[in-house]
Amino acid sequence: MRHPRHLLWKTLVRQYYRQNAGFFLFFFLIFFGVVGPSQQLAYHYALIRGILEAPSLLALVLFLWLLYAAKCSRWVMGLLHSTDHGFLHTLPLLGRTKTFRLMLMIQAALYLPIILYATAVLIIAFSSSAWTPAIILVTFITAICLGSSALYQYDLFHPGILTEFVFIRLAGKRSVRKKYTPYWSFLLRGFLAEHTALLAGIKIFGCGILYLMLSMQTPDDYDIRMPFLFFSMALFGHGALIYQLRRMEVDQLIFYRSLPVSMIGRIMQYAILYLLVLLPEMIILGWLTPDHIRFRDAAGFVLAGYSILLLLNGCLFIAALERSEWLKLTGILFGILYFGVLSDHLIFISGVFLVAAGSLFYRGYSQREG
Amino acid sequence: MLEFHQVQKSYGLRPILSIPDGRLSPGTWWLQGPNGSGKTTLLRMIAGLLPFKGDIRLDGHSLRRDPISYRRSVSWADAEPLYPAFLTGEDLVSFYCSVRKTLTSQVQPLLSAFSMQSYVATRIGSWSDGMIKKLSLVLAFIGRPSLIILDEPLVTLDLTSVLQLYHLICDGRAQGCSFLVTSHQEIHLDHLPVDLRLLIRDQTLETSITV
Repeated sequence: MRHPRHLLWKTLVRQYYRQNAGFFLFFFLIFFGVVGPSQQLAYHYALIRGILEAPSLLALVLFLWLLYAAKCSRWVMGLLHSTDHGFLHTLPLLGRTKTFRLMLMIQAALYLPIILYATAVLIIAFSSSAWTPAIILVTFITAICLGSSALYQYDLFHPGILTEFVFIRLAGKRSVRKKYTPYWSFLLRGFLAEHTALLAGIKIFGCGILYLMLSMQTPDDYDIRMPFLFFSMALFGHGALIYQLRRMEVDQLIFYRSLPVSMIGRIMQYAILYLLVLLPEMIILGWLTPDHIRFRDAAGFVLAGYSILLLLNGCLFIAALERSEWLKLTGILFGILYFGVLSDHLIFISGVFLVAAGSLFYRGYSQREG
Repeated sequence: MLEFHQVQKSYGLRPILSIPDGRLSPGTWWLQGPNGSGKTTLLRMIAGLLPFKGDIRLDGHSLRRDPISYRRSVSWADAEPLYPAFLTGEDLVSFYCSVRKTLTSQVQPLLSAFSMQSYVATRIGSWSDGMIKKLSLVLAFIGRPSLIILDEPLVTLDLTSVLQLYHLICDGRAQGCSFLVTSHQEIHLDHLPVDLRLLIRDQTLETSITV
């Protein structure tokens, strides 16, 4: 007979990494793709020194790690409450200690990317006698792992109580009857409710990198290519969100297709959605124009971002792509866009993308009429 | 009146349905056929959810040429409805009301018929299958469609709700709405008069069985 650990590993850990392949690829590119192989060690050493020496950077890092912990907890709790994983509720039969140990193992496996990076940070902290940040880090990681495991264990031993708590809290907040709920708000809430950590990570990275890279630009030393490369990485991360959103639409919002909404009305839902998704980056760009970025380039950034999001969305209406095919497609499109900035044709290529997005969406939807 | 014009549906190279020209007069139609015969596929085609060759018309509106008017006339409730867990029933009700241009007050009788007022404002993620099924039925009745498609409407419903559903269908019929229903469970003809039984056999629709 196989040990329960084997089953938990298959259902909770392996599936997690498989489903979040795009998420990890995005962050891997951010951390290991921005500098050449020969500079990797120096780059990460400087980054870790910054974390250890600047309390604000340490706080930001801990906040991001907390978001990732929330993502892990959401995954495990979601599976514990799903009907097809009801068998997991037999785990309490193993006893409290053993169940807690198993849950701790699961949490450690899900949190492994953070634990590995934190280990590197701790090694440098110990070697440079940075005791305070080291103690904070150890306490933080331990608290996250033990706290999350305790949460899962509590939910297994007291099924429904945590859900009921959230349920009552949310029900209490809703007293006003809404008059109108647009479809794009369902999609936006899909991003916010189901992919909070990924969305927050992409936005913090996208806005942060835009601000940092553009604020260094001066009229005498002006080169927009490198900021765009980083900006396009943030846009690349949106690809994972769009893919997940389309899956949600196909599985849970299929009724929308049967409703009497005109083609323009349908296109507008996505036009509004992605305008709102890109709003934080637009605010940063607006703030830095014209002191650090020329108006034309700022317009190019916005148009490029907006058109690529709509084009990626449109592509998924034409064909149901596998995750690997989707990654290839997004890579190719970003390559084309980067070629646009190198050849100074960014606005033109963005315009072409926008037209392509509209026609792909129209074609994809029209196919459904017969 | 529902009309079929050279309707053909296949999955890849495998033909599923082939319906030459045909029409159904207004009424309540009970679509029958064994598992895998294509009932749900046909319902989804009529609801405008699946592509196919040919055309379907409802009250003169072509799905292919006049998709918005067509969709305004047709409504659909899935056999196993799924909605995002983070939405509330109220979100979907108000959304359907806005799209179908109906006042939310008109939905209150539907919600009370299925005893849903107490939980309609809560997140769907905390609902049972039966509660979700009732929501899908309420949504199907919103607006003034001339055809309501109900795929296995009796599944997961309690007896009281089944009787309420029969009552709503009878009311709808009295107002001129047609119903296309599939059910593997026996429909109580005392409560719900069926005008026509339809049968999918040999990948086509037989309409000759009148009750």
